[in-house]
Amino acid sequence: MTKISRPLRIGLLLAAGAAVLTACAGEPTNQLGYPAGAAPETEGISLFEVFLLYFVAPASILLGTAALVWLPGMLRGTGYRPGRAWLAAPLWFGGPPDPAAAVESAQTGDVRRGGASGSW
Amino acid sequence: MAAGDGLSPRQQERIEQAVGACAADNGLDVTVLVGDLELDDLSQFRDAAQRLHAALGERSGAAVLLVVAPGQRRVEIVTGPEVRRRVPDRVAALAVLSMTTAFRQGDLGGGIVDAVRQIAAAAGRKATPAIEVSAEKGSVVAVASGHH
Repeated sequence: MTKISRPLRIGLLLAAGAAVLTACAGEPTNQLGYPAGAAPETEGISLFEVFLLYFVAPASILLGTAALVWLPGMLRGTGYRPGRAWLAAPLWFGGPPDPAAAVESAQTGDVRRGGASGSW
Repeated sequence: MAAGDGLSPRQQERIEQAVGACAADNGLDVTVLVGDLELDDLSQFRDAAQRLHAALGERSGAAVLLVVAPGQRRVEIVTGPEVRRRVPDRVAALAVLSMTTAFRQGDLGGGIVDAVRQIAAAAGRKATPAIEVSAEKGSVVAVASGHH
């Protein structure tokens, strides 16, 4: 590997940097393809379109996503939130034909029942 | 649907199906009561649930009763002496745990259905010679306030 002196190296770097910057700058008239470097007044989007693009579109994407998240739970309609009162009448699935009478006449006896309890 | 309105028809249907499948596939007599109990004190909940279990009459010996009180936030599983081998207390405790976890998130129907399936799975397929489920499959009976 050939050795390049330190001043020469710095000089080369500066020259290369200057060349790149000059190339990037170019002629002002060529920027964006417009002669004056800026879009003519007739082009671009109106205030209404700005509103649509920057406010309505993001908001609708947000709301759409939120709906996708919430809808399944809403449709399932659990109708229950912990901590709220439960107003519905009791339902006994597979219970005795006349639950009220059955409970009234129930004899607990000294039967060893099993099971488990919980609260939430 | 406002909170506290009760189970939706769809949820009721799913619970009926789970209870029916339990009887048909596993020969296990499971009944589910959903509703608050009339109690002076919540410490009486276990006793009240045992009384409800006794109300199953001659079925009660081999019956599993799930009592879910959404307003009182209590759940109780009561097993008859003849099913304690098939549904040990440990299985009941697990079912209670999965129910309370689901209920805490507001999923009443799902928690009950899962618990019934869990109990059925633990009890196994050994269908003891066709238990007569006296109420027709999955019948839903409204309970008037039973005990005072």
